[in-house]
Amino acid sequence: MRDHGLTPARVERMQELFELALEHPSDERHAFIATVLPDDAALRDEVLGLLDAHALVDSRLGMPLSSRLSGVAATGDAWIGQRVGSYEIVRMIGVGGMGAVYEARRADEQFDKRVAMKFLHRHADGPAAVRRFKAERQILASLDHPNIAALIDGGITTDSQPYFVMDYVDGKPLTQWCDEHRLTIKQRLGLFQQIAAAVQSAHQALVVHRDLKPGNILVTADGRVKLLDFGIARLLPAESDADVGPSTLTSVRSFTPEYAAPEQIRGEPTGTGADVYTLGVLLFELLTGTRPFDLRDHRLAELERVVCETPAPAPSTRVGPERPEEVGERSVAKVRSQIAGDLDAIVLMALRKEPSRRYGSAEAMSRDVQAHLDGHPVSGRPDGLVYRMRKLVARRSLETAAVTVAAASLIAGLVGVSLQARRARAEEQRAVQVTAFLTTMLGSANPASLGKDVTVHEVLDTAARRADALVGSPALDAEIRNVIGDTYMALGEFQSAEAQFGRALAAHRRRVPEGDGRTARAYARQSNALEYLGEYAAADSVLRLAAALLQRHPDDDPLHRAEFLDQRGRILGRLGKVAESEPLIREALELGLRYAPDKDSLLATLYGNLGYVSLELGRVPQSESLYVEAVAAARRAFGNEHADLASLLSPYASVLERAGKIEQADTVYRETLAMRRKLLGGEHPEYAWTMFSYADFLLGLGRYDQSAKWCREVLKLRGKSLPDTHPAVATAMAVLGRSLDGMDSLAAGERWLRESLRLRQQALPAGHWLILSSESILGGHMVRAKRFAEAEPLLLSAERRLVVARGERAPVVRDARNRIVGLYAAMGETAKAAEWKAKAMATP
Amino acid sequence: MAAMEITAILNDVQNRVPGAADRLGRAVFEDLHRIAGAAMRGEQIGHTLQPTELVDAAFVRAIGQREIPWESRAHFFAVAAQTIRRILVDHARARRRQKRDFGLRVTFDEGVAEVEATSLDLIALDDALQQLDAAAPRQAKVVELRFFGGLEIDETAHALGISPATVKRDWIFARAFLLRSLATA
Repeated sequence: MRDHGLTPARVERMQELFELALEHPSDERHAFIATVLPDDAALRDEVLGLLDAHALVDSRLGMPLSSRLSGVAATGDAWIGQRVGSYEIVRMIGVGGMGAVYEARRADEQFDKRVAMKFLHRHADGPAAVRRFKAERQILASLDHPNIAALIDGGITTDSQPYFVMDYVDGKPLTQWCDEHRLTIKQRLGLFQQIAAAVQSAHQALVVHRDLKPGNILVTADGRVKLLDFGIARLLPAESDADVGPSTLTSVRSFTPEYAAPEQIRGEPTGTGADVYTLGVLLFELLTGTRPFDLRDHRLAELERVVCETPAPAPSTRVGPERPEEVGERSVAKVRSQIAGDLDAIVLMALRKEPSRRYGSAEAMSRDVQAHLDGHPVSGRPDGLVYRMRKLVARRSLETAAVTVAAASLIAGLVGVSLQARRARAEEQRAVQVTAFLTTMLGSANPASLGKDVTVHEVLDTAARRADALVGSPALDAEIRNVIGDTYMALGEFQSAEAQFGRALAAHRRRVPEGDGRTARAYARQSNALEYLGEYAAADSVLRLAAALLQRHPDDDPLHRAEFLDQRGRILGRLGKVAESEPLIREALELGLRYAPDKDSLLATLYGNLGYVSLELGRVPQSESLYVEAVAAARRAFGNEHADLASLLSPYASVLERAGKIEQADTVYRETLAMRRKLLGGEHPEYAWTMFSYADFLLGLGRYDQSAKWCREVLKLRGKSLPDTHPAVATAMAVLGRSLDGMDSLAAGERWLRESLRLRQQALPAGHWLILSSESILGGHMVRAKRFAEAEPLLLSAERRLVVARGERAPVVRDARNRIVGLYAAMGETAKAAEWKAKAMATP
Repeated sequence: MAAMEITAILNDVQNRVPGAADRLGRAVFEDLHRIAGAAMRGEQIGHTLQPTELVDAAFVRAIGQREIPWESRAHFFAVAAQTIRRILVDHARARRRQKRDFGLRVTFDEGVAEVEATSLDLIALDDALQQLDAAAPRQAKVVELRFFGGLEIDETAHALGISPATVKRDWIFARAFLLRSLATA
């Protein structure tokens, strides 16, 4: 080996060429290297030297170097009646691309054991292949699964012919069996799960099949699947397959193109992901009777383009007219409807071009099939997580002019999650074993890649299960639960997160029964999860337990204190106790400004939250300047286009509106709308929030037609991304009703207002301020319709209860009072009108 | 070295506390040295010494039979591998100085059946490994952990923070690289 010039880049190149060469049959490797390196003699010599060394390493694994296998041209019949090892060959079963298969029986035992013997074609063997063969067969022999035809034995005949001995399987090829029995879609899924189970079991033994196809998946008379030839492909580094066609340097591999993954076609290294892809092709075929790509008329070069670049079609789009009969259904539409949705999603996830974006395992894929059979949601849907997370987050939020502002506390929470995650990371660095645990168990489960990686769930579930074994070490148990919980939080799986935090608390109780600082932090986490679940009262009481513990075990980290104060303030705010909330959040902000003056994402949150409670307390100018700071910090932290920035702009706009800065408000609303539409798409619940906030703003300006237009946009999403329980629906109806009133369409207006009230009564607990607000709004409508007798009791009762629920200074109270002023003015009761006017004026 | 103390250092290693790996190395060195010395003194010419056995012995002594997370085990073995390499190579050099014309025999153990022991020149191997380390440190580390530490593919992957597939590839490549160096040395 040359000492000079051995740079990292050169070694990297050497390794790359060396590995490429190993993909070729041993006797073609030198030629391959000579072809790809015609000019660089030095590098060529080095790589060739490596290949020789590699052969030498192999030779050290047991066999003498001398025996080059002679190319005996054995015809099939020559074997019949012969005895090989302890087997006697009975008949030929068939000849395939890899070799000939015979039925044989064990000759030296009393009982009659039928086996299948496979003899490899001659041309690709050589000393290295034989050695590998002997080593690998040990691993293969260890594969023990009811759905895998076991490799019983293997050896080399006296004339150097390698062979395998396998279970004799009396069965029919998968597709033939399905068609002959006219299996229903459901039955086919059952067979598929057997296949997946076998593949999973082999993968766990680190054996990849690489050449799954219906021909080597047999089904026995009792309906049991048996996979043949497991791992054989790996014993044959470079057999040309009869189906492949003319061989080229890069394409001679042992696989069947129609079932091969893109990375196989390209000749890249393959792992278990290739088998997952093939499972996708098999499921496609089981469902539709066809394969995703028709490769029959393609040449090799085109084949790569088709498989590697063309997106796979959804199986439901490939249901032909003959299919209903084959699967025992009445119409194409019936078959399609069974496949569309879940099964489409599952197949397409398995057929993704990049191995890393497919299912992480055969088991995960099978689990989704099971979920489909059980009617549970499957993980394979595109962007399912993001969507679910947004939906869950959106479900947390509250209402109108005040509603838009309530969205502020929503972001607070959102940013709160990332804060939690950051804290999790800090603690994780301290908690020793957790680091290792995370690296290994959570792997790709990075909360930053939110929702993009659906296998995160599988990993988390596995991690949670593994953590079950840690009861004996409560501190570790608790740390791991925290980390898993934090990750669930970041994914929007609040229920699962809450459960993990509960387990963490149980572990802490085992560790220190009376509780300490770490117990307090676990309580804080649990409270946060409860907050997201909308269980504010529970969140509050859990947080009080944390506060009590922190009295005795103060946390020295000022940022931890800031987060805790913010959390308490948020919960109190959500419970409507704004006055108690304000000093806590103010203190949190002061801590943040003092100890983390450059942590803009934290400051954005705290400014925003304080802006929110300030507005709720009626301090409009103060709120406005806080939001100015919040938005500026968010722009510094996230740039000019970010979900968290949009979440602050939205309440900022409504503060500007309340401050009477109409044009500025209009600009900010439009910026928010554009940003959200771009970031989230036109059907997203958060985009819907912004639309009706803007509609409400337009309503306030008397631009009723514009307002009604935006409300109708929101209501188009009803039953799609917005369920009736979503507060945006009722709120948009209320705004639409008032806009119609404004355009004197009183009957239509009243219908929407009553529908809005009804939805709120259904979705919210009795006496909720949003219901009261709806009643007041309906009262306002009655005034406009001159139905004063109905209006008066409605308005007065709503105002009274709103004051109780929200306090004297809440904007909704002022709105309610202004409606009463309108009532008495319309009735000509000027004294009463003046009295209420004074009351309303007291509210900013 | 008390088992508790080693465990504490291990925690530091996993926590990437600066200097912890060195402390662990020093802590286990003594033990390893004693075990290795005893093993090598009793050795017959041609006897195969498995570095893996050495590390295992040191591990049992250091940690005892208590169960510790396998991640800790991987870190321990990763550090021990370095130590073992030093001990074995120093030992081989010492012996060479004594002009005894035989080296230690160690095997490339793939953990697969039918492995036949073949002897290697440890000093030459160490030189080649240093050469590889200069241009491809990751690949060299894989060899150190697998060969001197007896770590499995997965454990090596964990200790280095790379994927098992990479470990396998690096192992095959580095093996060829080293043998090539040995053959042309």
